[in-house]
Amino acid sequence: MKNSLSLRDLTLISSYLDDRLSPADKAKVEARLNEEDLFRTTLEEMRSTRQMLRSLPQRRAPRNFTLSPEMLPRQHRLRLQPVFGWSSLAAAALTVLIFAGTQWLPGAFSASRQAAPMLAAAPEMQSAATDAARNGVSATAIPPLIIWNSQSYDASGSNVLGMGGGGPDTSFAPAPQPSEEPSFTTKGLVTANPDDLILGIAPADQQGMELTAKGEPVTSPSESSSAPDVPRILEIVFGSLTVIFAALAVLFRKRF
Amino acid sequence: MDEAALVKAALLGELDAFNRLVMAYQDLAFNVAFRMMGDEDEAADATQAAFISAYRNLGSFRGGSFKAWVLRMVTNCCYDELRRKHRHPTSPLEPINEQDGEEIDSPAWIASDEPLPEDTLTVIELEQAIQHCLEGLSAEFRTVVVLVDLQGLDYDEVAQSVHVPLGTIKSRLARARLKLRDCLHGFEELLPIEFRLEDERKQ
Repeated sequence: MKNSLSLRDLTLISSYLDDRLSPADKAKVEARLNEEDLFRTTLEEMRSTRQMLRSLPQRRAPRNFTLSPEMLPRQHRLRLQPVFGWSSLAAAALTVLIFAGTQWLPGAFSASRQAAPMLAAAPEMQSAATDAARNGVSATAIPPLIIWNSQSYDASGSNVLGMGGGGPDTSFAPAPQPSEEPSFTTKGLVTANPDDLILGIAPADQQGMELTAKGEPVTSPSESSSAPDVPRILEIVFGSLTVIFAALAVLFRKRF
Repeated sequence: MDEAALVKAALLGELDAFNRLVMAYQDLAFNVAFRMMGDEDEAADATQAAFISAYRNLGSFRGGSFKAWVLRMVTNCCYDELRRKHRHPTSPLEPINEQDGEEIDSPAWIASDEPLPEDTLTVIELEQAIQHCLEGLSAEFRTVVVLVDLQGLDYDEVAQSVHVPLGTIKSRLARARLKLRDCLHGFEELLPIEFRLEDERKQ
């Protein structure tokens, strides 16, 4: 069938057939239907074609198309792969951030470590001051003299005082001399103010070394600082997680 | 059946909920696939592939007509299968109109060097004749006329399913109906009297 109608006209007729025209377009089409035979014939032919198509029987599905888990295991497992991939990426990013923080802001991380022993010492000094008050010794008592190569004891003779190097000399048992001025080693206690301590001079071979109360040099960080290196631990943890998650992502991608 | 609740449950991974949706739409899906493919076995394969694809891509459903979304999976699978079997040529039969990207009609399209249908086939049932004419359409035109005229979908649902503008749906439908009518003219003797051309009816 040859048709001189334009594509627009054909589209209008087809849409009119399905009642999908605006009121204005519908009125135009109905006017042309009344005036043009070709317009009317084309509409009738489209109507009969549509009716013919609609008369076709609907077929039933030959079987059930429901899904079984066996059809989908690869898909479920595959969903884990992006999870591990993104987790690895997040762990790597955190590792980089922590490392960058320790490099660009070392003060923030080191100050916290340096403050720890001072903060740890303060409670000890506080408890010593409390003991002093309990024993009736006034705060203005003569501060103890730290004698090199010897341990200094307080009035009770049992509490070790201050620093000075050397090993404990248990043979030395300071005793107060009634006729003499009170010895620094027997009277007084550690005050709350560390500036009151009078320190002895270290021997030449131990100059500049950090010593423990027993006079032994500090050999490991754990002896001088009890605070853990938190940034380093976090770097190790997140770096390990990065490797683990990346390996799992690769494993799930290859196997499933 | 609360379709929205089933879709939500399926999104959470409940396979039983998704299978209830399959049961509700499998007849429709199979019919569309059959009219697209023209073969029952191929239609069954395309339908199964479509539902598997639908389950995998359920996260892409953003509301609206679930029926249209399922049929989109079906038509996409049919397109893939047709391309694979080279039944649908990748190059257009007609030159393309640069303005709307659609094929340009010409009288030469209607003329054919093939023998007339009545010479080749002594007895053809109406359904087979229509199917023959459907398969003579391009996949895009065939999809629109199958969804609108065979399955009764609304223009908007078809636009959502096929992912083309509403105006394109209207023009494709008009041209598909006209081409089908011209093709069926060759099977005039098989057509019921009420479906024959008006001038033949008068004769």
